[in-house]
Order: sequence, then structure tokens, then C-alpha cells
Amino acid sequence: MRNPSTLILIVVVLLVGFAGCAGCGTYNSLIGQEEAVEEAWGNIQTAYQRRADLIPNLVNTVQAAGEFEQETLQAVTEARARATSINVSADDLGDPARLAQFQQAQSQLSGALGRLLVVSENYPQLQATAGFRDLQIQLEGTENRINTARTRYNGAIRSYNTAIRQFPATLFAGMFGHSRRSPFEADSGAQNAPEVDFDS
Amino acid sequence: MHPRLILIRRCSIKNWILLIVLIIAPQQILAQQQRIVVDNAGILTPQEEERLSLMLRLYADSTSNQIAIRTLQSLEGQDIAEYATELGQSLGVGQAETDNGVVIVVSKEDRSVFIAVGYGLEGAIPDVLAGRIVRDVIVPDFREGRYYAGLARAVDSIMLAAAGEYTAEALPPRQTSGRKGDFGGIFLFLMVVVFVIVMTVRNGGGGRGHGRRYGNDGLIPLMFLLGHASGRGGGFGGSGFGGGGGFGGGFGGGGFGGGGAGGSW
Repeated sequence: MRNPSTLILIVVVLLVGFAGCAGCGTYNSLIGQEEAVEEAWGNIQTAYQRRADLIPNLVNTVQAAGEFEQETLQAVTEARARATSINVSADDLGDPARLAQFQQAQSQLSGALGRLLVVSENYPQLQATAGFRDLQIQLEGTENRINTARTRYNGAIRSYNTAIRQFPATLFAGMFGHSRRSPFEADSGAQNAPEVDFDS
Repeated sequence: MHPRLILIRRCSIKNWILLIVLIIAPQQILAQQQRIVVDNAGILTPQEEERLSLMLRLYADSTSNQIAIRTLQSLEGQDIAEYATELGQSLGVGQAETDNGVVIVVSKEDRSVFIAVGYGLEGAIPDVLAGRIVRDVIVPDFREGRYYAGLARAVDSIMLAAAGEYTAEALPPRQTSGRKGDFGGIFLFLMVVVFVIVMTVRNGGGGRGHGRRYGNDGLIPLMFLLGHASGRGGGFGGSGFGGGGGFGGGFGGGGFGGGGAGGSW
């Protein structure tokens, strides 16, 4: 007494079960990926904050060592003020304009700091102080941490962006508010060493 | 034997073997990278390399802090800080819970050295301290070509700096990551679906007249296996391939975030 409807029923149950499983699994994995992106973003902010926290100390040390180009110091202080005034919370990550603003402010600060370090080569008595050498190491350390955090953030973004475009995630992603995130662009200010005119 | 039992048994043995192979194979590939000192630049004699690695293994076994040394011929344009950080992260130097690892990278042609410090030791060995060890301990010896002496004294300094921050303690075994478990579950589910369909179609050809029971025959092993698939993360994760602290089980999965300092000689 073979009944073809039994077979059809089995197939339908399996298909519905599979779709349900895939949907839940996809939803959960997207949540996981989103969390990873937010965590990586948090690390970027921590690294930048660490750099901002070093700057008052750096400025004090430089001033204590004697005469120094006020212009350069002022540029660093101003760039720091601008950079710390722009906060991008994890919820704002979907807004590319805001992210670009943040990146620009930070890269200006990188440029100002780089300039200060180059100018400081003209001040041997400053270079000789232990305090300044330690600060230089700490600054290098924060730049390393920023680089690491950015590389990992871009890695998290890449797998997130891939995940939301893959089947079957692409069917659910829009429904649950997952949209493409933009990666952290290379820092133009940090990559090109600042030019200093020693003759002026 | 009842056909239902045969189904269950065939499925489970096949899948258990598959699971075991999937878990063991990557572990064995990893084992080759788990040397604590690797001298690719050839700046150490075999005896010196052995002495350093003995010292570091003993240290790892007694404190759970792991210090790894890698020397290279050339960085080929890479940034040494980035290289050392990524190396430490990918090898997993230090324990996963405490991130108490240190990696010393020496590049012979670039004449540069970097001490990368894992997250957990950044408090005990801040960048400034790592920088001083490079500047005052490593560089003077390296300039004279005394690579072993420089490295051995640097290791001593790092151990002194880290002392008290982490002591030997019983660490819980590592958990495997959840993402692999999810993938395994979906994979098993697909295998089961294919298997059930194949079985249903094949049995259907027999035509012995008990068609209504096919559904049951298919679904019971299905549930049985799904139960195992979802339990897999717990079952295998707890068994601890990484071992506890020390170096007995190789690197423990410690993380690096760019801490440390370097210099050139």
C-alpha cells in the first residue's frame, strides 16, 4: 500500500527543516560577525585613545626641554583636540561619512605627530633626555597597536561583508538590518613621511 | 538485526571517524611549528639553540609564560613590529586565557630586532621596558656579533620583568571555537539529509508494502545524529589538546595586539 504522498511529506518536512536550520544558523553567524566587527572597532578606539592620552605628556616633555618650534607643538595640540572631539560609536559604523570624518581627524593627528618627531631631530638636547626617548617608544607602540587594530578591523569587516552577500544570508541580511560596512582606509598622513623645510 | 539499528550504527561510526580525522589532522600540522626557538638566520650554533630552547621550555613549564624566539634572514620589506605581532598571534604564544606570551624576532639582514609582548604581559613589560631591553641589553651584544649572549641576557631581563605577574597556576583546558562547531553541525545535517533520501529511495524500490514506516526509519537516526552534532563542541572542546599551562602541549593560543618595542644594531 505505497502512498506517494508520504514521500512528498518527508521531502517537504526535510526542506522546511533545512531552510529553518539554515536561516537560524545564518542569523546567528551574522550576529557573531557583527559582534566581531564591533569588538574590533572598540580596539581601534582604545588604540587611538591611548595615543591621545600620551600627547599632553609629550608636549610637556618637549616644552620642559627648552625652546621648541611652537608652531609644531600647537599643530599637535589642535589636531589632538579635533581628533578626540569626534567619536564614532559602534552604531554609527554604517555611516561612511562619519567614519571618513573620524579617519581624517586621526590621520591629521598622525601627520602632526610625525612632523613633531622629525623636527625633534634638530634638538639634540631633547633627544638626549630619557623622558623623550621613552615617549618616543610609547608613541611607536601606540602606532603599532593602531595598525594591528586597523588590520584586524578590516579583516572582520571583510568577512562580515562576505557573509551578508553569501547565499542564503543575502535573503535574510537586509531583513535584519545588516548592510555593507566600509573598511578603514590606509592612513595617508601616516604613510607619507611629513616634509620638513630645515632652511626656513 | 533490526534495520533501524543498522542505520543508526552505520551513520554514527562513519561520522565519528570523519569527525576524529577532521580534528586530529590540523593538530599534527600545527605540531611542526611548535618549536620555541627557530633559528632561520643561522646566527646560533645548534648547542646555543638547544640551550636557549631548554631554558625557555623550563620557564614556560614553571610559570606558563611563553617566550618564543624566531630569527630570519630578511624581512623582505615587512615591518618588523607587524611581523612579530602577527607571528605571535598566529602561533598563539602564551596561554589563551592570560595572553602571557612574548616573541623575540631577529632579522639578520635588516639588523633589527623586535620584542612583541602579548596582551597579558603589557602591564609587566610595557613598551618602554621592552625598548630598554632592546637598547641596553640586545643591541650592545649584537653589535659585537654576540647573538647568543644578547638573546640569553634579553630573555633573563624579560623573565625578571614578568616575574610576579603570572605564576604557575592550574589553567582550565582550552575550548575549541564555536564557529567550527556550527559548521560541523550543518555539514552533518547535509550528510544526513542525503543519506536519508538515498535510503528512502532505495527502500522504496523493495515494495514490501510497509511504506508508512519509511518516514520513521529516516527520522530517528536523523534526530540521533543532530543531537550529537550539536553536542560536539562540548564533547571535544573539553578534552584539551592544548594541555594546561607550560610548554608540554605547545603554544597555548595567547593574543598579541601590537605591544612591545624594537630597535636596530
